[in-house]
Amino acid sequence: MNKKIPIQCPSCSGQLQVRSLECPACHTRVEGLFSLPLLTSLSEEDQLFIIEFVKNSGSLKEMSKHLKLSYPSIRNRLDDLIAHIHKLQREQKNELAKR
Amino acid sequence: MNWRRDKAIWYNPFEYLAGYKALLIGLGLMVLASLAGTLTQIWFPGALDLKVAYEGSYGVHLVTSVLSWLIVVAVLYPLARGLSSSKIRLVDMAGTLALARAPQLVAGLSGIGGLSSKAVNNWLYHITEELQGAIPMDLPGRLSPVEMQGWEWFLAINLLGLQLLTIVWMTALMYHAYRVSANLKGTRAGVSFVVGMLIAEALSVFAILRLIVPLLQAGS
Repeated sequence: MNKKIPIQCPSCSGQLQVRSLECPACHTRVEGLFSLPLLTSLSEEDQLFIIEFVKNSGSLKEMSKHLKLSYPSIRNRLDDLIAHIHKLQREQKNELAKR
Repeated sequence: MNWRRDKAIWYNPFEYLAGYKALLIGLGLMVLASLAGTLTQIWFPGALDLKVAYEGSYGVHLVTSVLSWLIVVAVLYPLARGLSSSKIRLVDMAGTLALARAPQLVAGLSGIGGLSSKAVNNWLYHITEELQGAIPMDLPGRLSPVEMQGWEWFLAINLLGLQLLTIVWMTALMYHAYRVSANLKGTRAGVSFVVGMLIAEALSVFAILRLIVPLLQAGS
């Protein structure tokens, strides 16, 4: 089963952080408090969009052909994603400032 | 093509079709709608208008349609540029707005047989007769009534209802064309579209009065 990393707290909807990491081979465990990378904070759909974007060398025209969507639809999706990334970055910055 | 996509094609095909493709299809449909309108006496003068029982040449129908579409594009494109933070392409705005006028073909075809034109002609005749009874006046080019059976009235009213629906459908398509091309959402998209369409409507009616009517007068 392909498990999804939970990124939002089910209780307060805040951004979750990683408490411990473990090596599956020797079971060495590292404990601490690690922030999730920005990309993992995005939804699965947004992550797939970014993968498609990279695979198409950043060409929105190629992406629209490949995904069978119109050019403005793809461009709108990218613009919304950029706005969302800016928002997440601001939130991460604010959280760091609070610590 | 899946079910969701099939359904969306009727009210928002612009998620899948825009740019030059939409422009070519839209212009092609505009040419056909003007032809159908000429044959069935249904005219599309203005951003959102439909007039029944209008006898005009194909040239007048086509020029009016193209001019009305161009005015809508000329109003909505700069409005979208001013409001949206996205990079908007003129070809997307022009193409999607051209394709959004596709319901005009359905409206044009719905006039086949001239039933809706006959019904409107008879209504206008009765209205002018009643007006003349109340206020004596000398109206130029008076209408004459056309005989219609009960079933013809029934069909004509349904066809007029269908023509009204095509205007609603076209408005919905134009809104989605504008929203998708400009990447605008919510209140900003709705309010700017309404304001833009009101301006486009006023401008198109003015342009038609200044361009098409003199053209008609020069031709007659």
